[in-house]
Amino acid sequence: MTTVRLADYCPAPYLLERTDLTVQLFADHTMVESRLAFSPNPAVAQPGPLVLEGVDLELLALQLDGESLAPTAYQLDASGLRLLAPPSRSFVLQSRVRIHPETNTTLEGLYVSAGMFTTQCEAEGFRRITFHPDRPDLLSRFRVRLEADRASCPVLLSNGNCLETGDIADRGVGMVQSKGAAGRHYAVWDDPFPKPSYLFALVAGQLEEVADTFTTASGRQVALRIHVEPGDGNLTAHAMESLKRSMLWDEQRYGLEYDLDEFNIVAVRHFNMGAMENKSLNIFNSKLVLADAETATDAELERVESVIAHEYFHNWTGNRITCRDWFQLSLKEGLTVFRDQSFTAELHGPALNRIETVSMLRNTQFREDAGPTAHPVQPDAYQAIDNFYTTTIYEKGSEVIRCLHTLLGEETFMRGVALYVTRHDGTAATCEDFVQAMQDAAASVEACQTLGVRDRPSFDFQQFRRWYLQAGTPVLRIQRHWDGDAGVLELHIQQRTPPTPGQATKQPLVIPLALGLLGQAGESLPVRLSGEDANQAAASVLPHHWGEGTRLLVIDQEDQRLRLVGLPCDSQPPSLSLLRQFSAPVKLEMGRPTSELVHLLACDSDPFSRWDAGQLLLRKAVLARASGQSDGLLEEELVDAFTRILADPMLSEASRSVLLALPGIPELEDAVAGQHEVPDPPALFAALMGLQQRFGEALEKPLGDALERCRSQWGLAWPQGNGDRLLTGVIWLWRCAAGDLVALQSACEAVSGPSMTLARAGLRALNLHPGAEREAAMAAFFDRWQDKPVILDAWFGLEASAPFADGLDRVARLLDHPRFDPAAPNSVRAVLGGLASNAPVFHAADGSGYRFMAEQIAALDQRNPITASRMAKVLSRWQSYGEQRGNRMYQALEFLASSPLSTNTREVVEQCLGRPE
Amino acid sequence: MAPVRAVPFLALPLLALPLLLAPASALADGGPATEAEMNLYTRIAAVNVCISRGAGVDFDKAVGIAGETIAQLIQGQHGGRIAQVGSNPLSIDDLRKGAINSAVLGAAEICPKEVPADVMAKVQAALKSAPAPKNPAPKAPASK
Repeated sequence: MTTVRLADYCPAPYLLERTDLTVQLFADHTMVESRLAFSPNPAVAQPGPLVLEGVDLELLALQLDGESLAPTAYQLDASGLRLLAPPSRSFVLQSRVRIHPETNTTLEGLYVSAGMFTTQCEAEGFRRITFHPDRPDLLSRFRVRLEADRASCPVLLSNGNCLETGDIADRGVGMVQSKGAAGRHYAVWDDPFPKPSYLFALVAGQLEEVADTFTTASGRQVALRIHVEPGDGNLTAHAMESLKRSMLWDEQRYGLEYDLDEFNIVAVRHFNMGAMENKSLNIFNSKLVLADAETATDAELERVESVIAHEYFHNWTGNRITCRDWFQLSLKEGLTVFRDQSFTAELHGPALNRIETVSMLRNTQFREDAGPTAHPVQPDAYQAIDNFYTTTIYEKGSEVIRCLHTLLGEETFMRGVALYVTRHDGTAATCEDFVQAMQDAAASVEACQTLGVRDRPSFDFQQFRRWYLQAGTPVLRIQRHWDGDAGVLELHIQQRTPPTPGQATKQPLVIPLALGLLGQAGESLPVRLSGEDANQAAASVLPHHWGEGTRLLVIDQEDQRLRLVGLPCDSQPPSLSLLRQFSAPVKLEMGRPTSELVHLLACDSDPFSRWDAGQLLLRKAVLARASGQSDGLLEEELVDAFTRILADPMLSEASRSVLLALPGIPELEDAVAGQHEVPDPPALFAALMGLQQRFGEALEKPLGDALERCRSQWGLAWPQGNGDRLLTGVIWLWRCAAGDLVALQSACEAVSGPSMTLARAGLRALNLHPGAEREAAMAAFFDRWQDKPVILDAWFGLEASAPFADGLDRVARLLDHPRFDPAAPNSVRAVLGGLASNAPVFHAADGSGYRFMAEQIAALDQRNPITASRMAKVLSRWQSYGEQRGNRMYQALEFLASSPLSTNTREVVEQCLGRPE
Repeated sequence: MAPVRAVPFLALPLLALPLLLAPASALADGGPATEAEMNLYTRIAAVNVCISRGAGVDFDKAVGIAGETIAQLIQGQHGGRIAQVGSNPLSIDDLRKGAINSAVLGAAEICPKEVPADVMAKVQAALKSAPAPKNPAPKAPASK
């Protein structure tokens, strides 16, 4: 396995001005002719050999400026072609290759999905189509001629604008028509914007088209088209509206307008990722396009909207400004995730959106950051770049940008983005370029600062850059001392980032800490630092949406002491509301009495901190149960708090459902590990079940009242009514756990109703309880949706996650089920992902779940290395599970390591085993 | 590229703040402010007004602060000189007046709802004789 290192980056010896392709698609092979116009890169003194990447290509012809090249002029191997002595002038290299998309199961490059030709070129798929430098810093203009059989491929799409279409016979060669041309047609596409090869796309097949238009701010009309498999056109209205909302938002919010005459989206059933931002031809996992209230849950509708926005936003942050190399992946992904999160927050409410984001971060990214595959937002080495499409690159990358936004404020941040876009439009940039634009924008604001005291403290940009280079989740350890006679609160804050593979020691980071204080009655207290007067303190308070009286403090030392003065003299210290809005992706370590958390849960003006206090209490309660000693008093306090929450007229149903949500098993495992104990996932699962039953029994009346309120809103179209449906799901879960026959019946009936949200909520509630109701509901769901694979994946997932004694047999039956499609990553993820989330079965003490998973991953890797390597990470945490369970998981990894594996999966397995490189 | 992952949930609308992209390159180094730089500063001023108005600041105050900021910027970075006006530096009062006018015009374009009706009427009257530029279209390379 070859390791690619950031330190080895060199500019390309030749610039690429044009990439002209002719792609002839046939049922049993595809011919690709490429014409690449190179010129020496003036930035490189000694051009040397020219490397063209190429995988699984059959080279038929190779010419330089029209002359065939002798075999001695180049070297050809399994990874590509090396031109030994290319001219030191401009030249054109032409090649003709044969490829086989019809047998390509990797879903990289050109492949066939449900009879449709489609592509996936990010990160390194283009080299499976033709010989090409295939590096992101080489931008060229593409013109593509597609030829295919008109009957089987009536639609021919590529990037840019369509210049020409016609029958091949029409163009023909005089009276002579070759045998192969009968019934064939062509289309020529031209993309005026230079782009890297990873943004190339083509689609050819039988597709139903849904069309609309969007008029840009400058008055241009853009044709919008969504292409789906025939019969699915009625499921695209939500996707189309989401696209138009995204286009408008990017104009209004960032001043970024769409730049071509048409924008196409294609839904593909077999797709490794969620979606891909190919210039003007976005290709989507069909799960993220086909959605309405009957076929998708509210959460899925929101996800569709955000992913469509994400890919559309890439047109500027990713396509117009791309990445210099793949170590800069977070430049486009972290920034675009930040943009799509902002979009969703502005459309649907910032507080709940933030809570969802943080919950996901804690359950996935924090876990990755603490395991053997931990890596920085900007990694410095990789073997398979596909392994770095991780929550660290995306979500932590977004959090780092959010930190900049918090530290700089909205106005300066937006100036920084404008400066970044202006400077780097049409180029391949780096993370450093982005931070530098922010720094320059901040300096220009500083230079013309006439507004007196700023609400944002200053910080060191150089130190801030460490966020990109250091892996691991920083921990803030906070101790406090309250002097009630003087009204002084002292905070002793220590930051440390634990060691991660390859990074034993870490430097202090710049951590924005948003902080508020609450008095005994829940009132906001002024946060005044020692040395400040009251006016200075008041002028430094953050805007209202941060919560009452929030101050932003910069923690940038290993050891820092803060003295907060001028507080009311009282024997009881004020309640400390820390990390409001989750102002930085860190963990807090602080002894907090239950009474303080209950107070924050009841009174904190920042919804995130309120939720977080509740989560801390719930974690305590679950951990106590998992250790065999339920904390009755704490559970009683939670029942009281939830009773108040369910009756609070100031809260929305959505807020109630979020405040009542129980923590996920991954973060519970982290909490156990934080107490220096060994997590026992089945015990944690049982504790969660027990707590659901306890709440379901103790809150029967308030839950019943809430359900009646929600019921009247069930029929409202998303986004209205989603809070009511969400809370209904929680109520069914808890009441079914308590054995409520009415709840079981309601959950069962929902499966046949008009709302997929309620149907799936019902199934989730029933799925934990073996019995006639569950079996009837699952059978009804299957019968209703068996011909809709996108929807049926949910059924596979639920079946695989059912925590029953026949777990592995059940999963094995699913893998053999006639409706299971082993070539579809969605189906594979549904079953194997469902198993991985099934704590009692996957984490069975005898290791059978681990071994079964390893066998499945080894088989999957032969077909689809990208999906297999991602799935292999479910075995990464063996070190945290203690001797017995950990050894079993380690043995499963060793079994995998002894199997024939792709580079992708081998890299992950070796990392998990602690044997990098 | 978006990863496949579990879905989030929930909903409520909120204010969207506009920002137009500046076509200028980086901030200047001491020479007279170029046309592109003036364009950038004008847009910054307009955006400041819109953001301030969105945060509840009075229009006059928002315009005054934005104008002052830009006037100080031109004086500090360019010695009060603007290439389009000539080689002589402008007084800080002249800079303020010009910057305030630009901020008002820009705000009328970007966030007209944040501009008081009487001010908007004056702006529209002024625009009849000299139409304001539209939102800048992105650079589109000519098709070959």
